[in-house]
Formats: sequence, structure tokens, C-alpha cells
Amino acid sequence: MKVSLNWIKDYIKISFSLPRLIDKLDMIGLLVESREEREGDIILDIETHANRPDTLGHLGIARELAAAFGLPLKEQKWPLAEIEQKTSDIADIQIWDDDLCPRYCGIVVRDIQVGPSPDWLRKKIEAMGSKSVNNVVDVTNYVLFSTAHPIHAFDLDKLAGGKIIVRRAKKGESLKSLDGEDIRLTSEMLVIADKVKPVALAGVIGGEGSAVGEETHDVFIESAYFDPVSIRKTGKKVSIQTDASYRFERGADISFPPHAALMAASLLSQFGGKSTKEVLDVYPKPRKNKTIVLRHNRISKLLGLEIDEDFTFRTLSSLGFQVENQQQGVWQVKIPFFRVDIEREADLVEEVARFYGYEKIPAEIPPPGRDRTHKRSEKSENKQDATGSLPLWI
Amino acid sequence: MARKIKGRTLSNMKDFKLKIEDYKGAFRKSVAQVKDKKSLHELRNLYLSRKRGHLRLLFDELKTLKPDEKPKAGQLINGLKSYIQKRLQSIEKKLQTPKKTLKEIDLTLPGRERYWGAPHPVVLFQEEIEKIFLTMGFSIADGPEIETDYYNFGALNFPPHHPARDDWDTLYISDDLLLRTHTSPVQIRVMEKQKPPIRIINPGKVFRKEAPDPTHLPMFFQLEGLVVDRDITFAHLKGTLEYFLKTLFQEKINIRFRPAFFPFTEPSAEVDIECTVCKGKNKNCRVCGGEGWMEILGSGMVDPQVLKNVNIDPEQYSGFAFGLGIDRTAMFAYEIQDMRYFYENDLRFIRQFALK
Repeated sequence: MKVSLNWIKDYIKISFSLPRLIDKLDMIGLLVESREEREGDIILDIETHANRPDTLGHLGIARELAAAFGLPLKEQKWPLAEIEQKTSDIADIQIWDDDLCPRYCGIVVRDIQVGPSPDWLRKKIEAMGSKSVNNVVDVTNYVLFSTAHPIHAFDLDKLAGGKIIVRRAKKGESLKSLDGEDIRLTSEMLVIADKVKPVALAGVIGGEGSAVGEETHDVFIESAYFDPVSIRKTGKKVSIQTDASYRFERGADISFPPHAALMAASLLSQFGGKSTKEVLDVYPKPRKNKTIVLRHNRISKLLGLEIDEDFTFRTLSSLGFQVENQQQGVWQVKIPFFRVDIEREADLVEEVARFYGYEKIPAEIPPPGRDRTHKRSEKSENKQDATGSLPLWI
Repeated sequence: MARKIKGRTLSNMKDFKLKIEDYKGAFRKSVAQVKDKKSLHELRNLYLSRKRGHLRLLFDELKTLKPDEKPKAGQLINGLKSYIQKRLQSIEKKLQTPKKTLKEIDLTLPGRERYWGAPHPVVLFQEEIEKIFLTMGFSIADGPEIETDYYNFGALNFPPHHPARDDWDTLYISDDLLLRTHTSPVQIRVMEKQKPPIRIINPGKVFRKEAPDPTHLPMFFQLEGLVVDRDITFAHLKGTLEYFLKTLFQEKINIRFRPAFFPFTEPSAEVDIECTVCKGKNKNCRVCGGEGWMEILGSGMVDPQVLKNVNIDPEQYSGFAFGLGIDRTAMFAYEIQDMRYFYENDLRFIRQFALK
């Protein structure tokens, strides 16, 4: 994941040297693989992990740094230029297959002047190694690289009946993708359809027919949550991986779609866009946050050292966990939706250890003991042959 | 055999046939004894002499047979005759082939060098690593190179269809069978059979769907370790691996543990050593890429789900596991720039290491 230092500064105040920042990132598990100077900015290439989709955006990286340095995260405001109409007056969202799409939000933005992006936006998109397309597409990518939440913009006029139907594809349906490729759809694939036909392969790629272009005035912003396994299977089947599918297949933040939609609408107001009054949010079965019990003595039992209770509380809180002291030495920890990796107590122990610093954990030789259970089988013993050589292929 | 070969009073065909057989047998015995031209000449006279040869006498005996048996008997004698002639001819040829003489060896030719083999560097290095762990009380286990999806992934807490699998590019044999991508399945096989305390290492070949380049190979050697017991901690993991690395590199090296992700460990750590080539001082170092550190081990506390999968209670027992690429580590230890050298089997390369 490419990370721009200037972009990080939108979220936290950085008042320390670059080597110190890089060292900290390395030591909390965000290994900096390379760095590069670019137009007055520094771009870091960070190795992210398959279980941490939240770090696939600048907000997530900034959140980690804030916890590591004990800094507050800056609040960002997203003011809107609104019109009287509600989203639901213009568009209709129906989820037919909520097993594959448990949540779908949309907002309409009218009267946008589609054109090339302003410099600040173009630079940011290009710093991520992407191509600047136009201001609307760049805004959706800006939201993705900022928050790790993928969104999509449709040309509202090209959605037949102003309808959004989230459903499995029907037999024989196909879609021409944004890349001009004809995709044959199968009934396991989730699509976004209008009244008549599929207009996007959900969470993977948009359709050419509904894409935003020069002639577009009104835009429908999609901000949804799709089932990770379904996205992965579809992506594999059609051999397409996009910035969006890469994030959805790892698990998006199901609480975030309304925020991402608002953020996009607010940014589009810079190009004359006026948004509908509220985000239309279809979320038939709202999910509850996971709660995990963390025993303080379990931390020392696994790590081999005593960690201050106060440190544990502070670290988990700054990472966005809600920590409640249930009784002496036992916490009830509510897991935010963006942390799809946290499922057991051991996962929380790792969080504490990460920010305490692996380097501060002592090194001890385990108590003496000898395991005599195994004798390697004959075949892997290295027998010297007549010429004095040992075979490698054993 | 009591029959007399030279009897003169035969009168029936049956006896005549037997007589021919006897002569053939006797000739065979004698012909095997022939060593030189002289004995060859004697043998020829004995059988083929026109005056007193055995065959002459046989022809004479034809008279004693009934007229209708004569042609058949004549054929038999001629058959024996041509057999004897052929054998004698071929022996004569052999005796005539001249032997090589010393004069034909060209003493001015340079001598032929005999290449003695040497232990392969990867084998040597593996043994070096094994020795260190054996002194720490580990025993050596092994397992199959063809694995099922369950042992390679499922039991190790990889959810089906999870992108985490992308980090282990897999060569599948069928939907369920694959070439193991790491030695970790051995952990599971050992824990299924053995209850704690467990203290093993398991070296072996592993396979990845990767094109060979200086730092990647489609097949390489890995060594994995596992310790499970009561009260095993992350501090023990650090202590064990620090001792191991400092012993292996036989010098003061800087080591760092940094958080990482493996589905089968939690917390997880990657272990880096400071670049053995530039010591972190060369921004353009080709070995460490200028970052000053080289990743050398993956490790972590055994994931509670993995313990549950093998019916070990994670509340009572804990453990740590680690793994390293033997070839990759040998690269750093011997300061070799390209991992492919290990498998090109150039004796000039391979033989150097036995001297170390």
C-alpha cells in the first residue's frame, strides 16, 4: 500500500523525523519496504497484511500512528451543498440478495461539472500510482485511498427507472465493464442492476454503460458492504482484481458506508454538485459489534511479562476499541467494525504487545527439557556415497 | 555316463542318436578348455582328421545301419560336423585378435582429474542449524511433501477463500491435494499424535508457484520449529530464536522482532537481522535494499484455534512456532547473491563449502 506523508498529515500532526516515523511503522507491524520523494511529498510503500483491510487507507495508517505516538486523530468535516429533495425521491434501492450485500447506501449529487481534476486531487491520485480520470472518478478513488472504503459513481441518467437493484445475475446476462471487456455473468455473481439490466459487477468493477463521462450532470454514489467470500470468488472467476475488490474481499467496514457517501458528496460540491438531503441507507439486518473478554493475567501469561493495566486500557482505546472494566483485571472490549481481524482474546493480546513494543519483551530461554519422541526417518539421513558427496535429493 | 563312445557294434538308430549327442557333449567340454593354437589344432584333429577323426569313424559306422536309416543318420553326422567347424572357427578368430601392447599408451597426454564430490552447502547448513536445536533438546520430525488442503491450510487456521492464501502461491495436484507450501503441516501431524510437552524441529522441501529469480525458487528448503508446554511465553520465543541466531552467525549480530501476520500464530512476529553486508550503512545495498534489515524468520505464539484443531486446550497449554528458509539463510550466512547457484550443481561452487 502506497502511503503519502502529506495525506497522513490530514489526520495527525507529525512533528518527528522521517527515520523515527519509519522505525515506528516497522515496529508496529507496518513494514516500510521502500520510500520515494515525489513533488514535495514522501511516498512510503508499506507491506500490509491480508487480515488488516483497515490499513489499506490513510485513515487506518494514521490511526495506528496516533495510537503509537499517543496523538489525537484530527476530525474531518464534510459540509454539503444540499437540495430540497431526499435521495429516496429520486432513486430507489432494493436489496434482493442480502446474504451477499447486507448493506447498501446511496446519495444523489446533481449539476456536477465533470472535467479534469484540480491539481491537489490529481496529485494525490497519481501519488497512489493510479491514473487521474476525471473529477468524479478521482473523488471516488480519493475516498477509497483515504478511508479504505471503496465507493462507485453511476451516471444517474443511465440508470433505467432511477432504480438500483442488488441481486444475483440471471442466466445469460452479461456486462461490458469499464475496461471495455465483456463479462459473462453467472448466477453466483452479485450485480448492481437497474430496472432492466446489470450496470456493475458488485464490488469488483463498474459497467461502461453507466460510467460517468463528460456529458454527465447527475451522479448516484454507491457506498455499500459486500460479502468478502462472494467478491473473492467472483473476482477469481472473471480474473479481475481492482482496488475495490482487493478491499472488499478482505472485509470492509460495515458501519462506514454512510460516511463514505457523505464524504464523496461533500467533495463533489467543489465541482458544483448539490446533494440530496440524506443518504438512503438500506441495512435490513443491522449487525452488532463483537465483544471480547480480555483477562489481564492472560496478557502476562502469553507474553511473559507484566504490562501495566493502564497501558492496556489506553492502547486499546486509542485504537478505537471500547474498553470497559468489568471487574478487577477483566475487561469487556467492544470491537469496532473496521477491525475484522480481532476475534479472540489472543488477538487483543497481540494489539497490546504490538504497541508495548516487541523489543521491550525480555528474551528468556525456555525451561530445560528434551523431546525424545521423534527419530527422523531413515530416508532423510544424509548418507555419504563412495565419492564422498552427499546427495541433495534425499 | 557309462556308455562307451567308441563302441563299434551299433545297429539301431536310437543308439546312433545318443552317440552323436555324446560326441557333441564331449566336444563342448573340450572346446571350453582351448587356450592356445596348439590345443585348438589337437582338438580339430581329434574330431575332424580325415583318417582317424571321430567323425570319420562315425561315417564308417553308417554301414552297420539299416539302409532306410542311413540318410537320416548321415544328416545327424553332418549337423554335428558343421557345429564343430563353426565353433572351432570362432575360437580361432578370438585367438588371432592381437592383445594391446604398452606401446599404444600415449604417455604425453595430460592426466585425467578425478572430481571428488562434497557435501552440498544446503545440506551442510541444514545440519548446522539442526545441531543448534538438538543441543536445546529439540527432536527432529518429518512429514509428507504431498499434503491435503486441510493440513496445509485448514488446520492452520486459513479460512477457505481468504486472501491470506495468496501469500502462499500453491501448486495443486487436485482440488484437495497439493505440494506443501510450508513445513507447517508437520506441526499439525505431530500435535495430533503427541501431547505436550512438544519440542520439535522439522526440516524439509517446500514448493511454491513462483518463477525462479535471485531470491525466489519454486522449490526450497524450510525448517520449522514448535514448542508446546504449560507456561510457554513470547519471551521464550524471543530467547530461543536469539540464542539460535547468535550461535548460527557466530558473531554479534543485531536482531529485531516486529509484528506480522500468519493465520496460525497470534501474536505473530517476523525476525530481522541487521544486514550482514552493509550493516545498515549503505543506502543502495543490494542485499537489504538499503533498509538495513533482512527478514530471516517468521514466528509467533501458536494460534489458540490451531491448538483447538488438534485437541490441545489453549487455556492449559501455550506454545510458539517459527520457520525459516534454509537456502535463504544460507545466502546471508555465506553472502551469496543468487539463490539459484545452489541448484545449478556447478562443482566449483558446491565443493567450496565442505572446506569451511
